[in-house]
Amino acid sequence: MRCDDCQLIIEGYFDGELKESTALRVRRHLDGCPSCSRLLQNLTAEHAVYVASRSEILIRPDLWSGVRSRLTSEQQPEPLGALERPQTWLSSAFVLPRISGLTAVALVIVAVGMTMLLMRYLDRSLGDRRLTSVSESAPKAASAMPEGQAVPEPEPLVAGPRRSPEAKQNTGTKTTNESIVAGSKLKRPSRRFETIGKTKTPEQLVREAEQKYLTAIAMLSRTVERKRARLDLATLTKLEQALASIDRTIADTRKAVRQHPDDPVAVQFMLTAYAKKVDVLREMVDY
Amino acid sequence: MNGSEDLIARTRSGDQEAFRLVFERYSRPVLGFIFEMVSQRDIAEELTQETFVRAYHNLKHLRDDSKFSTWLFGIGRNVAHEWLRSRRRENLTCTQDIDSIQQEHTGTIDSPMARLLGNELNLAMETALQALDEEKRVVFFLKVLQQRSYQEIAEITGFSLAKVKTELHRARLEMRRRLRLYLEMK
Repeated sequence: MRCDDCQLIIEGYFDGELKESTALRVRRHLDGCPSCSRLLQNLTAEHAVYVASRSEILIRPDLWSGVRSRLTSEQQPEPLGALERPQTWLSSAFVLPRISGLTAVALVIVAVGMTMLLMRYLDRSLGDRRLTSVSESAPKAASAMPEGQAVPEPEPLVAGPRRSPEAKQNTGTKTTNESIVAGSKLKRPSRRFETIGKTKTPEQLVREAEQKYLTAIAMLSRTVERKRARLDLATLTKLEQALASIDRTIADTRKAVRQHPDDPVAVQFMLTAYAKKVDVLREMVDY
Repeated sequence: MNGSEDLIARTRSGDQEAFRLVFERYSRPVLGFIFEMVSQRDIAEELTQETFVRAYHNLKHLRDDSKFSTWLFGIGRNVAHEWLRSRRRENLTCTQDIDSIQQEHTGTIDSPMARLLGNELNLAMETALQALDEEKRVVFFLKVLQQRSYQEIAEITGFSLAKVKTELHRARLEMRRRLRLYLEMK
């Protein structure tokens, strides 16, 4: 074998990809050729550097829980995927009519309305839970208080009609038992839930709000896309940086919502991130 | 018995614990592979999850259980490609120039790999890898860092064997050129 021939297949030899007979011929050539042997040594040394310089990528423990929850949720129809399949985006791009910015704004308003409704409910739900926990701990707290001293009234967690100072004064001497009763009166999450959406679960509401935002974002993005050519480089760079940053936030918050679907704070953060993206895109549309 | 083929058979019969073990075994290389394609850690994690979800749902279509790994990487590649295509549609490609990667690795910007890779050589290696075009990078990663055979690479990427060899050879030349200083020091 000549050096030229050897050098053509020496990588295959190093990778163990040659037929045994060819590999044998290369080996014999290498035994008697310092120049080609050096080539092989270099390949080996390079390989060692490449392998050594790569740290093992770390797997976050929650990665599996994300897969598991998706496997579970995707058994139901219309899953809330972490990642909309590109086919879906593609099909929606064809299905959705090209509509004006006004329609997009209307959609945003609907989405914001739904978000507020949802947030109001989630806040109430959270407030009720807190009140419940307060009422549960109240007897213990009361037992630690000196006799005759009133238990401080918890700050209202839900916006509502405030009581007059007189009324507060009157209630200022209420006993612990009355506080517990008040707490139990507020503890009606299921009824409130029913009044907000008779057939919709919070998850569905979140999904719908998210869908509205995504639709608005898709439409605004197309408008921005058409304007892109008219934007100067600096503005374009700023826009892309802002959108990339928001996209990261959206991805993070969606992950958090998937992991803690009952956490209203996580939902709030996620919807706020969507709203932020809509704001940025709207600014660009009006630019 | 917890061989891959056994785990796959158990997963196919609905054993989710077996699939968890499959995930444990393959999530790291799949994440590394997808990261090489998309260059963003959080996205790579999401796409890795998507890859395993798709693999789970499509396991019935896998004909040869001994080729699970190759099949899984193929799904990972498709998932990453779909994401890249969708990004391109938004005209926000994730291809980065070397300067931006270096900037990322200075730690001023959120840089997942900078957290994983510590020293200068790591950085130089990652920068050189990212500077390769996608086809070369994927082939190089699968051969050099994942020890895949040419045939497996061809199956994962859909390239011909000849293309695999050519891309690998060119990738090695480029890597050698970019890392010459470090390689000479060694």
